[in-house]
This record gives sequence, structure tokens and C-alpha cells, in this order.
Amino acid sequence: MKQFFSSRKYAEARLFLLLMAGSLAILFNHFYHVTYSDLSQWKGGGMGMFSTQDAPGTRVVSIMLETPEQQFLANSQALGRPLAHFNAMPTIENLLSLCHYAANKVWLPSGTVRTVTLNDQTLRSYAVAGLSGDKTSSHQPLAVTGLQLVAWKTLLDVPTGALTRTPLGSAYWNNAEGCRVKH
Amino acid sequence: MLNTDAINRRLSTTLTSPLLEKLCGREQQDFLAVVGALTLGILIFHGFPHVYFAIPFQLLVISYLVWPALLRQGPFWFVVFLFSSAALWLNWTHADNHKYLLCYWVFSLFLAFDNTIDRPAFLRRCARYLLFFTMMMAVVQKTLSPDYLSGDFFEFILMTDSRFSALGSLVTGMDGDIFSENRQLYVRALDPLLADQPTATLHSSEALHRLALVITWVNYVDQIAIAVMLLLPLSRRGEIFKHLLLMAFIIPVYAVAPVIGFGWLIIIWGYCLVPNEVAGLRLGYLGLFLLLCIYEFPWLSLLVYSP
Repeated sequence: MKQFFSSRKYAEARLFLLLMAGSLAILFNHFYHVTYSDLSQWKGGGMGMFSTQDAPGTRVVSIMLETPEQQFLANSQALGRPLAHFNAMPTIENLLSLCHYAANKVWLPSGTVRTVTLNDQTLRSYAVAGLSGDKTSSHQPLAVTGLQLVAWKTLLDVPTGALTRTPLGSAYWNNAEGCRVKH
Repeated sequence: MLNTDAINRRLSTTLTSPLLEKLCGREQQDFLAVVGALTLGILIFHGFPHVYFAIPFQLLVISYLVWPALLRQGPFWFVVFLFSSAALWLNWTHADNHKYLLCYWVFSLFLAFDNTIDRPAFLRRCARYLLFFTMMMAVVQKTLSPDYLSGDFFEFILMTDSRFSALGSLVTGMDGDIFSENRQLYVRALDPLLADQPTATLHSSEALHRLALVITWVNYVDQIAIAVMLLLPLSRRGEIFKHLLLMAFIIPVYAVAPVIGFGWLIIIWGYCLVPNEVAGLRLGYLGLFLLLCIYEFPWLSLLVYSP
């Protein structure tokens, strides 16, 4: 026995167990969050890429800002890590944290307007707002009085070819009440 | 008819070219040099895109250029591991699974430079475990997935992902414009400004559905076969067959989905797992390493117009 513990095989086994323990700990963490926090199978080191449609890219958050004058569409890409965190793991806590993050930011009008064609061929336009790090045309912060975040995932029902939106929750913020989440 | 004895003899013969003999890695120092250099290649070209990794790693690479023996030092790999894990920790929401695997592999290299162990044997063991882990977990995830085994996932990917649509168009003969329209409809469904608008119906076909099923099951069965073969004690012929199976997995998968960093990592593990008696097979893996560079070109779209 004493000979085994001082042998090369024991040294190798000990080091190999370190590798196994590390990788399995991350794997268990992945499955725990997939089960309880809707973590996408694509993320978190669980080797689930190319196994399901439900990748973070199918999860969308729409962020609208209200000012006394008009509504702005927030450039959601500006929200970086908290947004990516929510898209990977869309829990109520992460939506709330995204809401707080967006509410505490200083938004600036970007000077651009996004226009889309609706299904009936009419047009819809919203002015776009960004953060100070974005390309913005103004240094005059917006007086944001309210914020609305709506999240959903878009999945394809393959047999029918229909695209479906599954709500993931929504959050609202105003000066008086702070952030409130509806799941 | 495939003459396995002739292949066997050919793979086990010492090569006349000293360079090829070195690349075969029959000697311990050659083996470690090739594995270290290939890993460094992945880290340089497909490493961790985070400033916490990039800056210290640039300094480490410069140090390596000044002192090449650094690649055979445990502390070098430990520092790379530390910065890799920090970058992974900070960027986990964007990190693909192979970044985790790369991190585990760098950790294995650090452990392998312990003075008390047989380094090539230890790396072989780690490579076997990591390859098994990758294949087995991919099979588990696909089995648990609600839309994989039915073929729905790959049909969705063929319909909406431009990397796969070119293949779909080439095999089924469907017009490239249909795939282009599918992508536009899908992007509209993701647009926040159109969230209140009814979504459209995407176009598919019976041939696309069949292609999706073939890709689904070939990929699934191939991964199961590789995982099982990694567990079995094999004869020399079995070993050759196992490596041909792994190569047969790498060649088509990364041609369509060019995740080169992942492909290179699997190639390094394959290289490590080749027994010394058939070391010639390692040259095949090095060839695949180069092939994956060619795959980075959008070659499928050269065959089919993919707007």
C-alpha cells in the first residue's frame, strides 16, 4: 500500500482526478441551471451546442424608454454583460438585475430613427437611444421617466413552419416605484 | 479491397524523412513539442477573445519566441490556464463549449509537466477522457433535447443558418432565394419593433426534412460509436479503425460548421491517442489540422449562391 502511494501511478491518478473533478463540477453546475434557471443547453460547458434550437440568440429583450416628449427604442446591445446573462439564463432575478442596470444608465439620443415595415406594409418608426460609449449624436442626457423591458424566445415549430414567440417576462421601471417584474 | 496488414506495416515503419519522423512524435520530446505547439496554435488563433487573456498571453508568446523551451515548463501552462479560466469566468455567457475544453486541456498540460509522471502517457489519458467526455455529453444533451432526435433542430438550422443553407441548397436542389427569404422572416420575428406583429411561416420541403434526419442520425450515431470505442480495449486494427472513425467525424462536420478551434482541439486529442506502434496515423491528424484552415474559406458558397 505504502509502495502504491509513493508510485508514479498514484501521482498520475491524483493529477487525473483533479481534471475529472473540475470538469464534472462545471458539468453538474450546467445541468443544475438548465433544470432550475432555464440556462440554454448551448452555454455553461455542458456540451449541448447544436442539440436544440433554444440558443441564447433566440431570446430577445425589447427595451423602450419613455421621456415626457416621446418614446425611444434603447440600443439593447449597449447593455452588454447583464443582457448576455439574461439571454443565457432568463430568470426573474436576471430580468430584475437587467432592469436595474438599464434604469441606472444615462441614456442619450443617438440621432437615428429605426423604421420597419409592418405586415400590412405601413411603416413604424422609433428614435433610438444609446449609452455614452455608443456612437451618439448628443451629449444631452434623456430625462427618462419610465422604462419597459419585454422578453421572449422565438422558436420554430418545424412540422408547421410557424414561428412562435414564448414570453419570458417583462419588467417596468419608473421613478416612483422602481423596477417591477412580471414573469 | 482494403489491405489492413499493409496499412499496419506502413503506419508502424520508421519514416525516412527526419522531419516527418519528428512530427510523428515517437520520441517523448517530439511528442510533447508537437502537442505543445499545436495547443499554442489554437490559443493564438482561436483562444479567448478577452482582454484579460489577450494581453498576458501576448507577453507569454513573446517570451516563448525568445525562449522556446518555455513550452515544456509547467509554470508556463499554469499561467496560461489562470488567464484562460479568468477570461472564461468573465465571459461565460458568450463562451462556446470548446473554450471550456480548451481550458481543461491547458490544465492537463500544466499537470503533465509534473516531474514524477510519464508525460505522454498522462496526456494520452487526459485526451481520452476529454474526448469521451465531449462525445458522451453531446450524446446525452441530444438525447435529452426536445427537438434533436426528431430532426427538427437540423431542419431549423438548414432553413435559417446561412452556413448550413448552402449545403441544404446543394443537396436538395432548393433555390437559394427560399433560404434567403427564410432568414429574413426569421430575423423579422426577432425584431423588437415587430413584436406585436403575427409571425410568418418558413419554407421547407420533404427533401430538406430527409436531409435533416440524415445529418441528425449520422452525427448522433458517429458520436456514440466514438465514445464507445474510446472505452474499449482495442487491437491494433481496432485502433486504426477508431482513428479513421474520428477522422470521418472531423472531415464533414467542420466543413459545414467551421468551428476551427474545436476541430483543432479534437485533432490534438486524436494525435495524442494514436499508439506509438502506428505513429504514422499522427501525420493524418496533422493533415487534418491544415485541412481545417482551408475550411475557414466559405467554400460551400462557392458551389451554391448563398445571398
